Amino acid sequence: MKINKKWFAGGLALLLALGLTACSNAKQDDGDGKNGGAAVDELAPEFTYVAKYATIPQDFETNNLTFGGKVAYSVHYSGYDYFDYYAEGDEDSAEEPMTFSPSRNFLKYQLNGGNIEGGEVFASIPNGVDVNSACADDAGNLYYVGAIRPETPGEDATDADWERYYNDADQKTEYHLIKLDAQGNQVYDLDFTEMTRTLDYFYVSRMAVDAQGRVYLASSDSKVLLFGADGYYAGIAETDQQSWISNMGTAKDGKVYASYTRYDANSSSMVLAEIDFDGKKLGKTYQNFPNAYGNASMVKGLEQDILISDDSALYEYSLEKEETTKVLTWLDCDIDGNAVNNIVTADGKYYVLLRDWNMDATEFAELEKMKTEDVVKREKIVVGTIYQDSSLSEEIIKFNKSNEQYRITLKTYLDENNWTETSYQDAITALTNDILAGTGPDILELSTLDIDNLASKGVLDDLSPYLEKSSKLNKSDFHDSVLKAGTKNGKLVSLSAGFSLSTIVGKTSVVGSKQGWTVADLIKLQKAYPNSELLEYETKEGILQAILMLNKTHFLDTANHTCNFDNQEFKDLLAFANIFPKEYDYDAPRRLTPYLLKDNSLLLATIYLSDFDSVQGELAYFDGEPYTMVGYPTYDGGNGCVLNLRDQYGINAKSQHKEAAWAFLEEMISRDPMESKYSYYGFSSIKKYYEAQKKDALEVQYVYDENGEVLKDENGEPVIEQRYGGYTMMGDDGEEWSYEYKPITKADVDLVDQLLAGATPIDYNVNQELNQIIMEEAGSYFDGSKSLDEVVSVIQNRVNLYMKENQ
Amino acid sequence: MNTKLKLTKAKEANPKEPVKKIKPKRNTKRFLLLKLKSGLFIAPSFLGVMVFFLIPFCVIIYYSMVDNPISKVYVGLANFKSVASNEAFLTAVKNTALFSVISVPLAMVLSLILAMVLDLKIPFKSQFRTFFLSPMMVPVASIVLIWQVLFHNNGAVNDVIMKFGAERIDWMKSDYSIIVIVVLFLWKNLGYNMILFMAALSSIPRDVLEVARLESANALQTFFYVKIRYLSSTILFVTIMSLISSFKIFREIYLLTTDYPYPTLYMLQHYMNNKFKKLDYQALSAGAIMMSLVMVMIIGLLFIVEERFGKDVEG
Repeated sequence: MKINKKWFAGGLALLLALGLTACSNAKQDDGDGKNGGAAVDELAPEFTYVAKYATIPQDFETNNLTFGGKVAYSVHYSGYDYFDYYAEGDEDSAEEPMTFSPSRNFLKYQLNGGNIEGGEVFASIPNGVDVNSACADDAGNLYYVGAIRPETPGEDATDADWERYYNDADQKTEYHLIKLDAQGNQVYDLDFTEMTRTLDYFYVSRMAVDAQGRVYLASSDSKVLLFGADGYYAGIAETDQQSWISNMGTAKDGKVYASYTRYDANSSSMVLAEIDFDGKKLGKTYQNFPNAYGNASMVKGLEQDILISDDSALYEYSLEKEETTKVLTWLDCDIDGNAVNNIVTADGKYYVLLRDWNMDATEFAELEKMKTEDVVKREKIVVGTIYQDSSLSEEIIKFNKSNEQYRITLKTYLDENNWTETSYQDAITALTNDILAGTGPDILELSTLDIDNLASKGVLDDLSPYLEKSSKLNKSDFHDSVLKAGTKNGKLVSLSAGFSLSTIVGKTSVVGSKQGWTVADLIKLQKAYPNSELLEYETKEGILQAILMLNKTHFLDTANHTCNFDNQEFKDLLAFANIFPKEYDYDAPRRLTPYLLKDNSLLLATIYLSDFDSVQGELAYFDGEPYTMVGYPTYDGGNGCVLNLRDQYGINAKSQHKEAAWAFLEEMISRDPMESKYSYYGFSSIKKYYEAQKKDALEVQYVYDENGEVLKDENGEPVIEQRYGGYTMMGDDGEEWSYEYKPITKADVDLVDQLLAGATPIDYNVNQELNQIIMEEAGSYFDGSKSLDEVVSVIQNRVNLYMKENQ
Repeated sequence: MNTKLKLTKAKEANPKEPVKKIKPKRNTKRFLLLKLKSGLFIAPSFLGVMVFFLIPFCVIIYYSMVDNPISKVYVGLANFKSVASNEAFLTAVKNTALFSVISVPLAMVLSLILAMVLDLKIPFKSQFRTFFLSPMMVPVASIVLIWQVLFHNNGAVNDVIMKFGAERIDWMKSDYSIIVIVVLFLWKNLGYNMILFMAALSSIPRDVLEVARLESANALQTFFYVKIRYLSSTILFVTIMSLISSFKIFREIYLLTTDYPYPTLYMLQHYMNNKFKKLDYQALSAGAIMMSLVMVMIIGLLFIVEERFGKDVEG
């Protein structure tokens, strides 16, 4: 018996010891935050995927591109008259529709040894039929949904005719499901228009065909229309909670599956459901399916049942295990996830078709699985961000493709696909923990972090020595305001490639001609025009935030670690904010802003300048009347203009690869912003590019005719190319106001220069707690539950505690 | 022949002779095996204590002596000096001490009274017991929600007092806030303490109480001269537990009032939590070490008191 006890005790001890080791083998997400909420297994690190670019026909078409087995089909439009479209109007214009010739065909391509070949006409598309969606099966049969829209009004049509056309278009459009065999012969043509009339709105969001040739059309909501193999309408299957179908595709077993979000009492998750054709319902559901938002596609898997991609990664999903495995991260293959148009599996390999819409370029690549040890070794540099940023990904891909010494990887701390209330704070905590553990990213994107605090703890390296050694950049290349914003305690800890400006503008007749004003001036203005609206859509909290933005430190005594929120100035400020509405009623009838400004019903406007071309548009509301950029009111002087840095980057002081980190930063920041593929937001921080932007903005470009001559309008004036176009606004009272594009003038660019020279950088992440305290307590005064003195006293006590704690 | 057999025989030979305890000789194979076995059995627990307590505590000591967790330059006791002179830290110490001084004795006395009442033969005894224990089952988030409904500036308590013509009180953002938190603490902890006291009361030997009754001791005398002596170890345990709970009141206060509450509710853990968020690990570590030293001293003092007053009744 004693021996048994010993064994028992020994067993318990062993169990305890095992318990201690239990946490050591957990599979963890790599921190790029893209597991889509599902438990994602990682591919063994000994393998990696390398993109091998293949050849494709020169005129490869990607319209309605669909792969079936080793063939692909796409729609080719011919006879599109580019000049007509360009000269007559833009693509959003209702009055000037795009004109297409009636010629359109399906083209057929073959996937041969990793290359795409062919491009011959497979079948012609009947006149008047628009291809809504197309799908091919493994046997090469092609299925497509054709929409026949009512005829557009003629050239002499009035606005009313066009309005009638757009109102009736949906109800008069016919829908056909057409099947063509592998030779291009029509097998059936089913008119299913009547079925679409029973739906609130019909639009084919996804199309799939199963192994038996049955077609599934996901409508734009929760319904899937089912069609039998012989081309008959079989019914509708619907998600259980009327959730919208997120994705649909055919799995390895030949069945069609759809994914949608299922909502529980406190949470939501993406589930995958088999579509039960015979039962006309969504059948068995599967858990742990990736969210895969964005440009997602879903096809049969190679190793598992389903292959699914999103903007960041490629996943395989096992139906049996209900598990997701991340195959690769696009960025690791130097592929921009936003450009992934199709994914294909053939001959046991993954292929990807990339479509860069901005550059009008198409690429096709085989993703070759290689042993990591066989791939050229490069020093790994990690860039850490809270949010994913497409322009940063673009920079990383460019750098990795051109650099043989270093390889940049991106670590995104916030999982945007799996958002919860605490996601942001969790991301900050995870990044902070990594920094403290010495495993932090080499480069930090700082725009969402408390830079002051990180700098004071020595987390960020001084960038000045790097700039001194750099052959591409030096301090004098940057605007002083940008350098000032990145300098903390005498060290340049962050650099930014771009910035924007915001300020407050008023008519000179109302606010005077002096730039910059005080809070007292603002209060005085409101008293002078008691029946006018001071700022558009302003609320008590909004105005308080706007005023405190540049004035928070005015109430703080940082030297003695105290504050003075109990003084008369702050009381006056709260009392002033209290005259504004608690919430703005956006449903209330409202006149248009330019008219409100004109008759002084509205006194001030907030403007945001992100490029030179925006100046005219932002100030157009003043309709030619003289204006003054008075700025945000201050207590301590200044022009009241706020400088918002676009992205701020710093180098981790504990990084083992500081030189490499700087190499990437240097290349990214020194790049000409006008080269960027994605729309570039903001003025450049580098003076020479800023000047180039200015020059580009001042350059008037004209529209030319087919002979290369400048087009002239009815008055004989040259037609100016409209970079941004004009717009028309319609007020609730029926008033209209139009803005016609005007080229920027020298005075406009000088104005930006002037604002920049006196702009104050704002770091929204510093002293956030202080802001929370003020807003929380001011709310009690605004809702009338506390007196001004009571509120001010509590703010003073709480902020004082904050100041003492940080002494 | 083994040692056990020898001992048995010796005992049989001369039963009056005291049995000698034979210790295995050091450095013998058997001694080493015994040590190894003992070591193996204790290893998991020791490893756990090492990993989760001793090593982190050593890390804390290390952090308390460097300038910050990134550059890690040794600064000696500078962090302790800085923390000890920080006004917010001193406010937190004062508030935490005041709260513990008020709430712990109250929790002790009230729970003991409740236990003694429920020890009597009164109707609905088990219902009362359940009633007082029920707060233990309520999650903290729900407790906080209830307290917010009651003590918010526009809460139920203010509605009641305003009906009687009194002025509205902002309970959580005024000097009254400490009262609200003490009530919350008592409501949440009385049940647990009461159960411990009830168990201790029921284990007092009935014959001792019977003797006291025969010796004409009144109820008060029986309580102070008999019961309290037998309850001493439980009193010590309950005091320690209540003291620990009082330090943990931060959780409820934090959920009610966030990082920077009204100054009277600012506790030591607020200071440490905020320092953690600001990456001020050096200040956090120095503060934590000072707090743990004070805790060790208080608990040591309690052990001394218990040793002095409760020793004669311990079996």
